[in-house]
Amino acid sequence: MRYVIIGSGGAGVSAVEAIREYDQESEIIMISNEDVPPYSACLLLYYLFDENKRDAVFWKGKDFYDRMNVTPILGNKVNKIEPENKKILVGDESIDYDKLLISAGGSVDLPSIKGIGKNGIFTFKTLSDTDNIYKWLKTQNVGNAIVLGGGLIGLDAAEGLIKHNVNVTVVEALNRVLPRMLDREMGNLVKDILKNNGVEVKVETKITEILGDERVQSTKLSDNTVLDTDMIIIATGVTPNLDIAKNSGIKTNSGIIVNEYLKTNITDVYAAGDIVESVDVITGKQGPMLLWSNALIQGAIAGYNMVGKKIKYSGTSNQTLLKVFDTPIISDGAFEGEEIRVFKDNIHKKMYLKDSTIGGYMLINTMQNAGVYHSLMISKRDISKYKNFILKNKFNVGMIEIEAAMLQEIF
Amino acid sequence: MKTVYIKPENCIGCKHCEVACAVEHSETKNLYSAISEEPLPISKIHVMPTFGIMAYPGKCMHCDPTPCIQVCPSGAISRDKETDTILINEEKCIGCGMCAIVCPFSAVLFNPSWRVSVDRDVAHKCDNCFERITNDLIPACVEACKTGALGYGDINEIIREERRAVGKTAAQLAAAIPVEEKIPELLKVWRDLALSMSQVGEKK
Repeated sequence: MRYVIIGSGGAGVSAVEAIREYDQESEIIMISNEDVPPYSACLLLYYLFDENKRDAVFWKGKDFYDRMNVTPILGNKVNKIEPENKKILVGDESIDYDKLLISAGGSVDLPSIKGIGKNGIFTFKTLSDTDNIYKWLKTQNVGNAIVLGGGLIGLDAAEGLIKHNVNVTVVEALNRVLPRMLDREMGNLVKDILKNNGVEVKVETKITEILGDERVQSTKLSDNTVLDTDMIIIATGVTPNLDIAKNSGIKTNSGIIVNEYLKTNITDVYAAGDIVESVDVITGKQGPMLLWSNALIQGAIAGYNMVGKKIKYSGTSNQTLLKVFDTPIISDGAFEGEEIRVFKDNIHKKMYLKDSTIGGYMLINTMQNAGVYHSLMISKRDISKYKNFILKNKFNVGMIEIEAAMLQEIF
Repeated sequence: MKTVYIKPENCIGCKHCEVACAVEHSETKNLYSAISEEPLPISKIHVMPTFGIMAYPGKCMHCDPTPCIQVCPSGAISRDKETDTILINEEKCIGCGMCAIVCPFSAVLFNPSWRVSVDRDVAHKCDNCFERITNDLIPACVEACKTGALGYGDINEIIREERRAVGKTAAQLAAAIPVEEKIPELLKVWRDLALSMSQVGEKK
């Protein structure tokens, strides 16, 4: 048996671990277009904070391939998948597979802005991106930077650059930061946190032109201001690397289409991670989930199914956590229906109820009970009994447990 | 597989377990010196007030499948196969909070740890007193519990006993034989007292 895994991101790594749990003998080949051991994209921020922490991003250790008895093919791209011959083409080499997992992830699409090809324009998605940012910070006298996109990656990049004493301006096209996570009111609160820490935020603004000769000199924005710029980080969103599935017969939409066992329409070909189109169990929306936690869970489930265990992927919600200058910001579910809120001191909580179940919630500056809310939401529990105090400090998981015990009439 | 089990009907909220837990996980493992440690040791079991005078000692359930392991971006959480305990590697923990927001029991808190550094928050959660159980001792909270709300034993044994008790009660009820009380008499007396104390001054 030979397992071939395309991509060494979160999904690929957890698939390897799942396969090795049941099958220590079979050959596993892992193909990555990056020439490094598996690393965690979430840890790149900590590397951007402190250059000495580069080794910490290798979350499974630098010896992962040896330890898991995996044959790596690094720095090479998969050119073609030929399911009818059970073969893939890597460079000029052809590799046979018995079971294939596509976990090639996503990448940042550069927007079409005049002058986007100049030096000093970076993305912040991979380890080599971060290495390049460091090179630029060291060789150039960087005083001002622009981050295009106020999403998760954009705010991480802004926070990282602030630590290097760079003036950062975040430019976001929509009317708030973190548009996929928060509504306008909560987005404004995050904007205040950013401003208090020295990040300039411009919403409802776009970059119209990047000026300079070879290197970026300044940037023209849609509100006609021109800012001095020494570097630009593009964080406008991630799209799945669907090129890989082209002409292979694998069905795709906004991502690769898989069934509940994470199998594609072709026998023995599985897919997991950012490249897959998943369904949000709360909103019912279809699309790539693009979340680290979802990638790990899907990778593990795909791995178990590849070794022949029938395990269903039950779907997940778009639960997201971001720390902006040590302030946790949590968002989950959909923001429609009856609203309850507690805004007190610096802690802001908002929750939306749908037919007396939790439909979604946003928390700023607190993580208290976040997991309880999440599991009540996913399990669609009736919370009408707790409605009046569910956001207050006195609510705790003990109440749920005691209620369950009372139902069994042990008192 | 041995584990700590919770009988919430026996808990009176005395917080003995919390003190024992904090001391056990302190650097000096002694109450008198632990209270002056920096950072101050914190308990990994949390006695929470619920409805009326009922309390519930909440802690990590060491569940399987394990959401926190599944989402940890730094690979800091792992399962010890021998004892079936979920452990946190504080060196690797970056304190991001992913584990906390997926934990259905909200059992993960963030505090500095004496093992790593005083100025960095890392995940704190119950480790079933890993040092104690590998030395054939029972977890500190179980040792401290005076009312039998916390116990330690083989999970299958506990379920078997519980099932037997339910069967026995059902049979007794069916045969109209009086069922003996499951909650100790003293606990009932204490609860009645606490309830009447809490109602002092209330208008009837």
